Amino acid sequence: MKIKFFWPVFITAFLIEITLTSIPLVLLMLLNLFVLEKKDWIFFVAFFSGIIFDVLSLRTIGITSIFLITLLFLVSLYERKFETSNIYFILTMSFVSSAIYSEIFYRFSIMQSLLSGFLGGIIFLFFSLLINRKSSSNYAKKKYNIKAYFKKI
Amino acid sequence: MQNRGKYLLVFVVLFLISLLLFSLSKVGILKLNFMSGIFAPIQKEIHNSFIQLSKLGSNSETESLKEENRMLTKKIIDQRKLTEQNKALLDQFQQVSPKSLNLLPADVIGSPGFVPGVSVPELLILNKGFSDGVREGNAVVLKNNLIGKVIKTSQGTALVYLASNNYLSFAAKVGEDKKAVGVIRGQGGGEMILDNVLLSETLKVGDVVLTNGDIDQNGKGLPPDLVVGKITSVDKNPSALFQKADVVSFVDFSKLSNLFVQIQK
Repeated sequence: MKIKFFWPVFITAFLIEITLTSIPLVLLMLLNLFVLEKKDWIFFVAFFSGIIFDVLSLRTIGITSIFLITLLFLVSLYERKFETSNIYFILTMSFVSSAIYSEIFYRFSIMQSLLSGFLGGIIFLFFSLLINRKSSSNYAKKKYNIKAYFKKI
Repeated sequence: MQNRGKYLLVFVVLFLISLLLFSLSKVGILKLNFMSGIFAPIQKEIHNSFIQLSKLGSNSETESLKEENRMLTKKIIDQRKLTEQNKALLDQFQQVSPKSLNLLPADVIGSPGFVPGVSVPELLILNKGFSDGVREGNAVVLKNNLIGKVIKTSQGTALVYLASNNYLSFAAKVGEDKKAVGVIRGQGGGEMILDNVLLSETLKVGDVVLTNGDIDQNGKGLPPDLVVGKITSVDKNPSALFQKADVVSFVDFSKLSNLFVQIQK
C-alpha cells in the first residue's frame, strides 16, 4: 500500500461516521484511496465496510455496499478518459457523491455536500502527504510531492 | 484495458452479493445483530465524549434556565393531572389504572444524520434492543417529554425517530381542557407542526402540546399526556378546513445522552 497509516485513519473515520455525523467520511476515504491506489481490493474494502455500516446503523444490509462499490466503479470508468488523481476531480466527485448519498440515506443538504467536497480535498492532500515514496511510482512521486508544491507557491 | 476488465469482474461479483444480501435483509431473513453488540460500547464512548465536548462552549446560565423551564412545565402538567384525577374521584368515577408502563434507561450511542452546527438530529440509536424488552412503537422519553418513537430494533440496539422527524406523525391534544385534538407532523430540522385542528378550537401561542395516546392492544404506541412541546405560532385561516400551529420541543435534541424507553411488561 502506498498510503502510510491508512487503516488507523480509516477505522477512526468509520467509527466517527457511525456515531456522530452524516458526513460520508468512509465514502470520502474510499474515493481518495481508489484514486491514489487504483487497486481492485478497494472494492472489497468498500463492500465489507458497507455491510458493517448497515448493521451498525440499522439500515437494510447491503444498501451502502451497493452505493460504495457502484461509486468506485464509476470512478474507474472515468479513469479511462480523464486523469482522476487530481484535487479538482476529488472536489467535484466528493461533492456530487455525498449529495447523492445524503439524498438517499438522510436528507439532501447543500451545506453538508459542500463541506464533504471540501473535506474530500483535505483528505486527498493529507493522503498525498502520507504516500509511501519507496513503494510509489515515479509518477506518484512527482505528482504528490505536496511539500515541493507548497514551496513553489 | 486489463485493469478495466478486472474492475468490472470484481464490481459485478460484489454488486450481485450485495444485491442478494439486500434482498435477504429486506425480507427479514438476514440479521447480523451480534455485530451491533460488539460495537455498542465503543459507539457509546465516542458519543458521550462528543456530547461533553459540545457542552464546553454552552452558556451554563442559559442551560440552567432551560432546565428550570422544563421542570416548571413538568410541574404544571403534573398539577393538571392531579386536578383531573381529583375531579374524577369527586365525581365517584372508578379510576381504571392503565397497564403499568416501565421505564428502561438507555444511552444514545449514535445519531446518524447529525452534523453539529449544520443540522439537527433526526434519528438516534440507543444501546438497548429487543433483548432488553424494547419493541417497535415504544415511546422514548426524557422526564415527561416525548423524545421519539422506536422504529426498528436489533438484539442490542434500537433506532429511534425523533418527534421532529418528517417521517413521524401522531395524535396530540392542546389546551387546558385538552379538547383541541390534532396531528403532530415532524418537519425535520427540529421543527414540528400541529395540523388538522378544527377551526372552532382555540390555539394560543405558548400552549403546551401533549400526546393524545395511541397504544394498541399489543401495548405498542405512544402513551397519553407526554409533553411534545409548546406552540410558537398559529396559522388560522377562515377559508381553510383546519388550522395549524408550529410547535417546538422543550428538549434540545442535539444534546441528548441518557433517555428512557417506555416498555410494556
